[in-house]
Amino acid sequence: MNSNAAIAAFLNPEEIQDVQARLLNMLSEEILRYTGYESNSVPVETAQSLFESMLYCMTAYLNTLPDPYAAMRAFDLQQIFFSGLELVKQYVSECKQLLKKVKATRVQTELIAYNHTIDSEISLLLKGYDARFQAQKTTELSAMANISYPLFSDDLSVTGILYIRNYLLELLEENAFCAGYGKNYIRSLLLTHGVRHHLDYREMLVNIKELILEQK
Amino acid sequence: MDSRLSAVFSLNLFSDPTAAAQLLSLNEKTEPLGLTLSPTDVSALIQSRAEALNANGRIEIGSATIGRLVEAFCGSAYLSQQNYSPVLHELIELFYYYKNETLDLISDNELIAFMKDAFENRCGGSLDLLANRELQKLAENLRFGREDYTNMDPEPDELDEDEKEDLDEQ
Repeated sequence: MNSNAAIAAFLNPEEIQDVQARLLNMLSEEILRYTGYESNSVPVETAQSLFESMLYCMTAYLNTLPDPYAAMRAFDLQQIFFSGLELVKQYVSECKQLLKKVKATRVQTELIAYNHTIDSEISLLLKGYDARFQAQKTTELSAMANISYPLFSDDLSVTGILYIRNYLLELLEENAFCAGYGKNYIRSLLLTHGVRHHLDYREMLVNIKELILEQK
Repeated sequence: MDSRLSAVFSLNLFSDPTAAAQLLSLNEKTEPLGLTLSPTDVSALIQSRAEALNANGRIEIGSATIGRLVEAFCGSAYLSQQNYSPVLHELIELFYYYKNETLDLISDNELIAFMKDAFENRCGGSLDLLANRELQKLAENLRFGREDYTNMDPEPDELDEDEKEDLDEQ
């Protein structure tokens, strides 16, 4: 569920108006909560971001249901939002466990980007992740955190915790694939790649699985 | 969902439709002080608020700010019936402008309290001094992370090693 046109086609104009009115009330409450009830106004960009965060949580929840459009009609929007928020927080916990598994199954390599991503970048992202007010944001929350290591297959259509979760699941799969190849074999592939491109192989931004598949 | 806020909602939808009535009801409190707002004054102030929010790129929930400014400033020695409405217009603009300039690091009540204190005790009722000296200094203090941000005469910031070296070289 990510298409305005699809939603608009499903709901009639009166229902769309009703949904907008209810979302407006919810956004008002989120803005006040965001300021700790100490300010009644925020910059438009902040309100926009809070709105997107709210929608992110709601969409994350609705996409787990067999018929999200019917759920929008049947359930209270506030309840959908709180269910979504709870789900997003669960994903954060899940990602912490996934990161532990990734570390436990890591490829033994001197590739800096790979090690840096596993040892610090993902942790920083999870630490700085704001499920309530900036659920849709991935790397924007931390100046230090950026995901350096490129995946073999990266789903860039999602953001926020869904992206981080996908990234870790994919990395876990890649680790399992690379486990079928020796440490020295992988090192020689990286070294050769580095020599070919006149680079120190440790500093390259390359995907190990991709290098292995190219060689095959 | 269309997440472009401006395309979905109008800023006015966040306003309180009872704002005018609430402002007029404040006349009960301000009349003994010789200050009253007419329905026309109130409409103009509400319009001023909408324009100030728009000009400063802000969205406000409800319309309580004007009332809070009235309650804070109605006891001012520098207000008379003649300048009451014009001063309120100016205060509304200053409030939203400096909410941005202070990076939302200060609460609404604290900013209004600061404005009243400065206007009354340091600016002699001058809106120019309030805007261009006191509020500007407050914003600077907050942006520089100074703990005592209401201090209008702060100690110079401590220089770090690089800054000290640059100073010695000059």
